[in-house]
Amino acid sequence: MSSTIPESERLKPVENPANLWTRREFFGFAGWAAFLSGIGLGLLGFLRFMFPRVLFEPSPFFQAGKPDEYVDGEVSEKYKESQRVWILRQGAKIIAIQAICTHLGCTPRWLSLEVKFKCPCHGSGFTKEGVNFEGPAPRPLERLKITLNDEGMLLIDKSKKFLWEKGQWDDPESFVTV
Amino acid sequence: MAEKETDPLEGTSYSKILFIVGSLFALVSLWAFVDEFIVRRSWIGFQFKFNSMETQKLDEEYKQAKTQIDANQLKDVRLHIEQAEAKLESPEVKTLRNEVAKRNIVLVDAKQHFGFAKADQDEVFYEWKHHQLEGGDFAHYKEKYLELDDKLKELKQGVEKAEVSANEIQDQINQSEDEKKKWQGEEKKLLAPLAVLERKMKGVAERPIEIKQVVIDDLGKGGPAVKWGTVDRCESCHMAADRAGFEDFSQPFKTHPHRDEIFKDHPVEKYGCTTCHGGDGRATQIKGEIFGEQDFVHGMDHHSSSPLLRGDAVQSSCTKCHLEQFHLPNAPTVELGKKLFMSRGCIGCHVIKGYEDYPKAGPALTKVAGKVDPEWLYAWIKDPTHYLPEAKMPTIPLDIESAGQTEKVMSYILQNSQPLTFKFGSFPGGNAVAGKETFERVGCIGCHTMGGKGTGLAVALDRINEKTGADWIYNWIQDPKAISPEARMPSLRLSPEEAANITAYLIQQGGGKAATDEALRAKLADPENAKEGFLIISQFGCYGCHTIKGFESMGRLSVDLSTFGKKDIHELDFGDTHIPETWDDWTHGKLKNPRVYLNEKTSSKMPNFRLKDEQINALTLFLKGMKGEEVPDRFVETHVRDRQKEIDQGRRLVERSNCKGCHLIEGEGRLVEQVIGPEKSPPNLMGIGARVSPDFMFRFLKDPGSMKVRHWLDIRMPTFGFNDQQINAIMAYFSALDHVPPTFTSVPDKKPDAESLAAGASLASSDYFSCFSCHFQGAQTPASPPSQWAPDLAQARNRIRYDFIPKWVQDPQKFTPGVGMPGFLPNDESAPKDVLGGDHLKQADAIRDYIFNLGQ
Amino acid sequence: MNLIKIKAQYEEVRKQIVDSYVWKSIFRHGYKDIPRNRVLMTASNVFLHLHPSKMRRHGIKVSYTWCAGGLTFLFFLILTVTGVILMFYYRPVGEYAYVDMKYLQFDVPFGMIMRNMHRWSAHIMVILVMLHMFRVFLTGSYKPPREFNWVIGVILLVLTFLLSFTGYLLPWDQLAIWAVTVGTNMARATPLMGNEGPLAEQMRQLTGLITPRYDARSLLTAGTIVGAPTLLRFYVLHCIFIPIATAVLIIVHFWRVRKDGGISGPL
Repeated sequence: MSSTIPESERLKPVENPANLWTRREFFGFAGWAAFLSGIGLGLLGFLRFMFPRVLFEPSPFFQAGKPDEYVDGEVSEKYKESQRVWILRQGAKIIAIQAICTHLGCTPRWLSLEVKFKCPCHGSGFTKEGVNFEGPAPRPLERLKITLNDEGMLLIDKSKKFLWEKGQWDDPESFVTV
Repeated sequence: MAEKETDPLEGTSYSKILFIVGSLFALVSLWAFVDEFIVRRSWIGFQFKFNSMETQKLDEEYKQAKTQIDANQLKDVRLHIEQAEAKLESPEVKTLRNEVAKRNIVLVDAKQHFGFAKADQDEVFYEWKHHQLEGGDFAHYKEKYLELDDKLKELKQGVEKAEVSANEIQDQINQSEDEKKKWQGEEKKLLAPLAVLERKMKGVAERPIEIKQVVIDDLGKGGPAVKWGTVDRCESCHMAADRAGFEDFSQPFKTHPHRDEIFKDHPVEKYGCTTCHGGDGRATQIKGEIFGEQDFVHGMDHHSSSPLLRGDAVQSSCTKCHLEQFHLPNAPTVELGKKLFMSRGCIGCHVIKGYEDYPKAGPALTKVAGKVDPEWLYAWIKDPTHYLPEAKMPTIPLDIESAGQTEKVMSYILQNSQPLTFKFGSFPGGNAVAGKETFERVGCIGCHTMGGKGTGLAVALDRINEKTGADWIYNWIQDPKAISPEARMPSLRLSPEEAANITAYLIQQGGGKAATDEALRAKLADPENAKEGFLIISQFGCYGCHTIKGFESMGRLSVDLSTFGKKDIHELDFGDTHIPETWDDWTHGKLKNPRVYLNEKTSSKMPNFRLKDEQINALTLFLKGMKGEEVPDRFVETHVRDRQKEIDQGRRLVERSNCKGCHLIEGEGRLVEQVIGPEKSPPNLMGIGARVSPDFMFRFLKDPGSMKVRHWLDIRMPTFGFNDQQINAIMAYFSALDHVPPTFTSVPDKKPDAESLAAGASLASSDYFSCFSCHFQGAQTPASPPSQWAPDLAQARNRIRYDFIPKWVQDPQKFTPGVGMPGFLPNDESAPKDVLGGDHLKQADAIRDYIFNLGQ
Repeated sequence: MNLIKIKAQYEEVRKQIVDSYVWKSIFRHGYKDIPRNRVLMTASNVFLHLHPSKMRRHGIKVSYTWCAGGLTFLFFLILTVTGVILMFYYRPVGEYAYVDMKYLQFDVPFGMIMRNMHRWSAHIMVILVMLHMFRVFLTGSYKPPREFNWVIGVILLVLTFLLSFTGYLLPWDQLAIWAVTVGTNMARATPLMGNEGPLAEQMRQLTGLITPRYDARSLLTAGTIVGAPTLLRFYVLHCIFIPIATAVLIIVHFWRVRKDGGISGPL
């Protein structure tokens, strides 16, 4: 404390606590309280302002052609560029794998000679089925909901994911059998 | 505290003001919250309400479905499941499980060993390749790699062996598991209807309360300058608009009343809602009472440029994409308006995009002096209803602004009328009684009306002798095109005798010519009057509907209406009237009485068409759609657009030629049936495009007199004098209606085999289908009464498409609803078992082969 | 009785807070009502030091100035805050500007009130600026030694109008486009610089410029029509250029008020 104000002139506690607030004091407090609550509501409103009620985002659904367009045992990169999805057909089973590394979200590459997905960012590797086997990725790649529509086209819903660690890869919606 | 002398100014307290202002501020903030979360989000309430209504509906369905499940069967299946479960819990299975667990440990170990060895090998492989590429010595690594390779193989075998041994036991457990799964599957099958409903209920319960929107970037008012041109949130409240099963709900939760017909080709995801219905798609707030002044959502506020279109008015939006299409089954009112616009001659003065070269509505006046007398013409122009109560000719506002205009107009027309030469000479006299019979027999009443009898498509002839003379009628009915090349009336190929008789009959109809008015004739002969007449005609635009000499190169008289629908009310002059200031009311008033908005300073040349209220409504609706909006090709798929144009050329010709007076086309027409009865009426042309071969249709339309398909009918197919282009348009139209290409086809060269021919002959004979009891075969008349007669099958080869007959005999109603022919071979069951193995398709082919072989 | 207890508790808490080290490190001076403390209190607080530590007696009287200048500044602050908030959703691009405005209006929570606050505050600020100027004129406060501050005030008035004008285009609706078309067309008549203004012909001969393509108007509209480039230009002017110039001049304006003897008193 570098103040040079003598102790006697400093703020002192109210000597008689029995004295209620004067009217002036009360209105002062209430006025400030109202002002601050208005500001508080404004801040809350501002927080809500930052979350719009409706988003203009692309639809999570897309059609991925007919099942016979996919070669058995090969990873199709047809929709990697536009939708970030690989489609893998194994025998009669078709699955959709989300092309997002489970480490920190880069897009891995499909290395067909080495039969693995390899993430260029930190070197995570995944098998053809999407199971992690090297690098920092903590869990397998996520699969997406895939169904056949009335016209026999594959319909993929990117908003519904199937995670291996939750045992969801056996879910009937996570693959299509032809 | 020590009392201090306070300065009154210094001591003034503002705490009360702070309190008042602070409280106001807090209250306003609170108000903003209430407004944000309650007042402005009316859709939230609607969504809650709909969800509860849907849950209730599903609940009832669930109860219903539950009663329909066989309880005993379910009990039985559940018992089986319990048994299977008990078996899985038995000590034997438990020991098996323990064994599997043990063997699995071995398997995991083996796999791990293999994995580690593989990693070692990868490392060695890297070193090998690294040294190789660096140019170092790598033999050592290579050796080690191969060594590890052997070891890996060994380990792999270990893995496989462990797998086999684990699976051995697992398979035994699986057998019991499969039993359980089987019965569980049975249970699931039984409960499937409930499961579906449960899933639906769960869907409703989990449905987020949120704005539901359709975003279409390139459709809407902004054009390419605005992204997300159409954003429709209508489904945030109208949640069942695109879902079947909510037809009985009240708005806003009702299924779209025309969902089946319209949504098939116009999915909401592609076209949105406001594209057709108007309103503000982005807005989600209904202020005050529903459909009140401040209803932004439905565009009912006074700023809105597109208020919600309700009722029939929605049809006006069809024009955005379907302007050039003449037939709109889902928009009958607009279709009527469009047809009126063309047939009543509006198009003569007002151009509309896509209809620039539509033919003129009225007859040519280039030779009118030879046809009618001036006295009749004067009376006609003055008031057409006097001669024809239903006349299409409007009442022209002549003689209102200055007297004598009618005489001047007539003076110009008559003085410029070319002399008429009668190709067939003058009327030789005829038998009126025979004429009446011929008139009613050959088909005149397919278009004209006489004595209340007829279709009314062309003018009534009840007072024809007041209008014209016998010589003109005699020549006209034999060959209308000889007198006026643009005549709509076709030739019925009358013989001179028939023509004379009909003329004799017609010339008796009416009160005879009016007395000659010498004063009028003198005025008409004055060349000065003709000169003024020219100016008056140019002002009033008579040439819009009639061909008049000297006006061949004149442009359209009045405003282009291609964008009339978007006219602002400030661009419309309401004159001194008290008509409500809206676009609709203005247009209605103008059509009702074109002179209603005139005052001392304004003038108008538009004639009065004496329209009925429903006609006015139809025209108003048609014009309302004329907003000149550009719709990207994506929404009117280009190939459909081109094809549609082609079809429409044919459709317009069919409309203009009154084909529907006699024939049934697109489910409409054949009006003549009511006059002469169905058995004497011309054929039903539904499915004609699929039926006849293009070369036959071409030859027939070119000259219908050269061949008579139904020679027992008295009524004649007239010769319309179509040119090649017109015939092609009609053919394209008919083919498109039946989804067949308008291409020429030939009968295959290959002779049908004898078996097929014999089978066909047998099927056609009286043993089976008795084709010739109705169909002609060459000159052989069928046994059935004439009302059931059908065309000559010996000619089929020259007339019918090769692939048509087999489909036709299967089910004729599919092509031509209402046709007299029964469907003989819809399926194998109806096929005779003893012919061609009872195969209905083979039999149908055999009939075709037989018919095509007739007369060969 | 309860109230007494609450009061006692309040005083206890208050004492602890005010006597704490943290409090004292921030607020150096207690509110002991002596002239010296008042001065120190004001001078050592960054917000309060904007006020004069002492003022003339007549300066307190609200009815003399009606605080028109202060209120103008308050609305300038409101406009800055709401404007910055609106910038979170607004893109000054032809394709998006209008739909972003609609987005704020219909979808963004509190978007409508932010937009309306910005708009109404702008109108009020313009009115207040004029009232302030009117008061200064009536009280003769433009006279020496305040003549320079009057000049700055006039510049601030023009900047306020320009802020208002540039902001008018941003909704990118019909009203905006036509209003700015009308406004910028006036610039064609700028002397020397406008292609239809006085001496434009001479300037054209002299420089070869001052054509519709290169003149005062095309400088404003970034082209020959009011288009997407105009929108971007007006946006930058509205959000960066003019506000910074205004803020700097407001600082000078306030500074001069103090240096020229505080709020002018009655003559």
